[in-house]
Amino acid sequence: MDIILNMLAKIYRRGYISRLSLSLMIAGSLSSPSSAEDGRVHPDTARVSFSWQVISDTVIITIQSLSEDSLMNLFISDFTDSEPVFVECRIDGEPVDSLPTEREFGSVYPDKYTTRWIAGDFYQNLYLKYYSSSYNGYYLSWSAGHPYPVFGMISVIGPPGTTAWQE
Amino acid sequence: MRKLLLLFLIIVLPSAAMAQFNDHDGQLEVTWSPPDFGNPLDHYIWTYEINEVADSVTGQSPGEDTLENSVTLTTIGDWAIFYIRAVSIVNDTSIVVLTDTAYYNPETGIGPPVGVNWIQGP
Repeated sequence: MDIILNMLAKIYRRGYISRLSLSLMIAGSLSSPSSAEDGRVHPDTARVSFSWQVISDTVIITIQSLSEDSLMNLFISDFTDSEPVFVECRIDGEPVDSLPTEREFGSVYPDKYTTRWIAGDFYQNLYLKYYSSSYNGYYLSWSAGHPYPVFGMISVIGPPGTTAWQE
Repeated sequence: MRKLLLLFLIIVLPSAAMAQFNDHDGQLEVTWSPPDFGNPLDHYIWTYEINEVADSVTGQSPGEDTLENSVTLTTIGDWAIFYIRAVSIVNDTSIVVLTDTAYYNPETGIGPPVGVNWIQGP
């Protein structure tokens, strides 16, 4: 899936497809065939895409720059019942052994761990996977400070499912 | 080569805009299921885009509803896309989901003759 995103980004930069077409394609590739959900990005949803999913208490986050801009000073926050464990990270396709991490218990929510995964700077995309037993928190968010302030958050209510026309 | 690659990607990547539904009587009915996760559901907000006009018909449905059938297409060839999102009891809003495009496209044809026994004659 990251290979597809990289290819699409390169094609977009060369001007072969419009930004809208690229956003539709990326939304399609991220939501199929897995159960990844699109998160909400503020304020400019056309420049950054963000998806997340939870599989067996494993959280997977993908943040993709849809423009020529590099995302900088990015960190991801989550609040979990149990201490999360780093599993995998790739920045611009390159594996990263670990990320600088800040972690506290009870500092924000009295019964949850606050964890900040500090990704820093990247050009095109970030992929992060971590595990936290009995994961049930819909508190995931991330923010970046440059080249423009941008943050993302997940929906705390799922979308309607199996929408279909009837005859 | 690059143009071929672009064409290949457009074909293979999924897109809701490429699928369609033929509705035979113009009375549009769409169903959905509740969200799979998150804060308790309160209601749904939905809208129809008809013949490229966004928000042609809009409305809300209670959380227990899973059917919408208030729109009728009157001209053959008219089409519509239905958008819906869920809203929680604390006003969190989900992402929007949309349907395939529904076209008013009644089937036409000639059926076999009925009521006459051609073997035995009158």
